[in-house]
Amino acid sequence: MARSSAYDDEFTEYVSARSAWLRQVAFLLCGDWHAADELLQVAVTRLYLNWSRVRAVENSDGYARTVLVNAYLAERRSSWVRRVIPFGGYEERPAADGDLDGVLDLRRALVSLPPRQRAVLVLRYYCDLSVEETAFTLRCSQGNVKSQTARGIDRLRRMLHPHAEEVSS
Amino acid sequence: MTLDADELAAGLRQLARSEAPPTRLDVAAVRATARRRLRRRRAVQVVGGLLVCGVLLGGVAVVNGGDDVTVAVASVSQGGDPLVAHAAFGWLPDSVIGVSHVVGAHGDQVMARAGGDFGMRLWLRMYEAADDPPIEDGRTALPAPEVNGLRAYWITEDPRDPLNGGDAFVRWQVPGGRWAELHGYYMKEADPGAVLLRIAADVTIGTRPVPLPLRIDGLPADLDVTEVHFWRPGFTDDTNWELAMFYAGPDGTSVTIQVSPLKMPGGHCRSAAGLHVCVDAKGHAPDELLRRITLLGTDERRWTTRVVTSA
Repeated sequence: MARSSAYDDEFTEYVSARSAWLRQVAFLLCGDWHAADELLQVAVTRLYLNWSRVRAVENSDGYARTVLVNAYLAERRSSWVRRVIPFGGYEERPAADGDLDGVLDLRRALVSLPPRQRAVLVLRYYCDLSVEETAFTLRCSQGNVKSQTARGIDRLRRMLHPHAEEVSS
Repeated sequence: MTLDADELAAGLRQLARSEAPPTRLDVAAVRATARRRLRRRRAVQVVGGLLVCGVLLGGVAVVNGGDDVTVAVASVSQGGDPLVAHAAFGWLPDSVIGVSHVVGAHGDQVMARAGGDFGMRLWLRMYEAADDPPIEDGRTALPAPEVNGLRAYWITEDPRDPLNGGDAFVRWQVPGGRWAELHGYYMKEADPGAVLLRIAADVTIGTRPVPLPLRIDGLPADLDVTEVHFWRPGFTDDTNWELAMFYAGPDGTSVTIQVSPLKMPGGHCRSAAGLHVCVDAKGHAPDELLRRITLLGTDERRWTTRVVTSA
């Protein structure tokens, strides 16, 4: 199917503007920049395939984020993930400001969460989505989002503070 | 890091700003790959359309191209009916008030639901053929009673709870080796496990067009359907339904057709037989398209699978 240059230009402009943000979301989901790039490539290809729809919706970023998260969850179920360079191939350093050790610990802890739990935490606490918006993105119940959030945070706390019985909520 | 919600958010923001290698995303390569995939998809859809129009179809596989072959539960079709389902519900509890089909970039969805914000939701999905069911990290497959004589499993995060705290998944193998999934939640039934298994046993596998409430006497030949959203009932409304069909053409042209028993905002709309239709078009004349549309009324026995006919 021939695509016009206007179509391509508009797509390229959007991806150029938003790929850094999408790559960060992908990194938080995958825990690895190389895997994040693979995921981003898959998601951006899907965006191109459906670009006429993406530009027709009010919330293009929400659409792109949903495509990215669904691609991540689908590929965690498939053999694709086994072909991706695993965590540890490139030891990224966190941003210079803040608690370096804490952030590295958080990264390791996040990677150990089940994919849907990780996706829920990233959507709720990085993308700042409500419970309802997260449920819509993941096509699950709000109750499921709440339970996954609670379990995910609890698990992170236990991994980050293995000896703490009581932590702040 | 003590990790309350604010600290988790701050930690994620800092993690996302981690030192990163240069991105390997190549937008030009993405466009080239996607164009190849569109050509392949179009070829498959043309074949699929011909098959749906009269030739027996034995399989369900929908090829997106390349090595990421997925199995869709419903998809768009460039044939006479823009919406085809590859698996369908049979028996459903009396509380179910409709079955929705949504296909497009978000993936493919077939969902049956009961009324109310917290009425039962039942999602139908399909997976590739494999010896064993797909199982996500952190989940366990527990044997369930066979479905139509083939293996079935409860997929749960808690091996002590097959129904996963009310967010229940049953996956069963279907003839040909693929796996079907029924995901149910907000179920009020006394024995939700038995209800899910009864629903699963009556799911039928096979490609068939979904009847729609309109007929279109000819569409511009350069338009391809890209998405169909048929919410039954509406996404937030238990008493009405809404159909939206999205078409795209070259040079950025596009057409959106919406049908509902409810009046919708829009400049190019028409009402007939108790239904309302609105057309939004870029690069085409919406009123000309409106004239080609016949609304078939609210009685779904009168709906058709020959939606787009030759002008």
